[in-house]
Amino acid sequence: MSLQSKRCIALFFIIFLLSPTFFVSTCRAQIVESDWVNSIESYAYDVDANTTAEIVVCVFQSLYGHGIKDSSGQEINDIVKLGVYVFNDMPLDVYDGTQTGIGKSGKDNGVLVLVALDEHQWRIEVGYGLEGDITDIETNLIAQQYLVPAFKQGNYGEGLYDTVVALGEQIPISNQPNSNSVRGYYYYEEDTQPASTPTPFWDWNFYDMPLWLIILLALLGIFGPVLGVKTKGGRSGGGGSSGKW
Amino acid sequence: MKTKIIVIAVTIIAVILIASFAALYFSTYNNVVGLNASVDEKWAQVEQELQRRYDLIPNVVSAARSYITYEGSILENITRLRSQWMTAAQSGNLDAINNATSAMESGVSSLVVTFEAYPNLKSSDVVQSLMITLEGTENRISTERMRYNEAVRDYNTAIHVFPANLWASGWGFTSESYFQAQVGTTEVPPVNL
Repeated sequence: MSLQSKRCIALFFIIFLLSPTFFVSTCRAQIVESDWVNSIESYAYDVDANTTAEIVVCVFQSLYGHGIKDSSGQEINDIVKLGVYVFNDMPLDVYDGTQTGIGKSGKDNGVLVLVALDEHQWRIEVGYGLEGDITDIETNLIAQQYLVPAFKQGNYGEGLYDTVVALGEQIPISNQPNSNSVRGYYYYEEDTQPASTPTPFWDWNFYDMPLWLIILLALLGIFGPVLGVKTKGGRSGGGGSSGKW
Repeated sequence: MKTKIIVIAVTIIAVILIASFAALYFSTYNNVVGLNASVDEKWAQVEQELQRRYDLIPNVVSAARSYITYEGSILENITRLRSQWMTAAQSGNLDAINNATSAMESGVSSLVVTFEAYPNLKSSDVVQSLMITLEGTENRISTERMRYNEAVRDYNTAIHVFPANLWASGWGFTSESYFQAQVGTTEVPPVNL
């Protein structure tokens, strides 16, 4: 079992304990086919390494019931506001811990592609630093050309991949690429596993592993992110566009 | 001998007390100054986005003019609201800016609704692009407005809690006003193209 999948399981364990709804990174993709997810991750990784810009995809099953709240404690049901929140304020897993804010700090060069499947809504949010390279009109054209037709057919993976590629092509190659500071994860999905009925802890069974191993992994899961760097990334201010399919 | 020890002890305690008071005083001051600066900075962002909308409206109006024949008053209305907003913005009075901004937001909303009734206009590339830009501008305004209001909330809270409440007025800090959108105008007008 690779280290990444161990950490993933451990993290899942912690998440399961601490939070009713949560976002998971690539390792537990359920909505979009894993082949497409891998393609998205790999393309976005290349963009990050070559341009330092971070293109992140976030898939919500619905705008309701995800449990993400604004500063007044209300669940955010508007896709534009949700986009601003996910982009700027939601801690998301990166390769060495968690990061709030998509893109690099100071450069604000992030792009977020957000979709809500039940409501058939999409949103592309562009960080301050890329507003010149990817205008609102361009985000709309890209979504109309690649995302909307594929999503109408139910081809979510293809639509997201083509959208990510089209966005990536708008971003100029950086003079100082730095593959040491890449984000690592680019695809996130709302955890749509139904809340299970409570079972006694000795009956918990994850991937057929003994309890002691689970506990060990859980401790790794706790201390990994704690020891890992909590970083602040880029900012956005509502730039981009949104629509329906 | 005994008195000497008491004097030294009292002096040490007094020095510690004065030093902690000074530390509290200056750290509180710095905190309030920082929060106040953040309010100003966020306001500048709001103004920049409002200015963006101000600059955009003439383009929308001129692109729509050739299509809108019967409801020209809508275009005149938005142009009038735009100049009212500029007057308010120049006055620097937040209440006036609040009102003028809300009025302009309703104007933009009704403009978008009117556009829906003109299929030719909706299918024009120029108008489509302008509407996307307008929508983006409205989203930016609401985002920056939310951040400004959060900064105001943090600042106002800070100057009203102990110990800053004892000193804030002496330092010349007073509550800042929120930049409220009127009910019904907080939602971005939907642009369905």
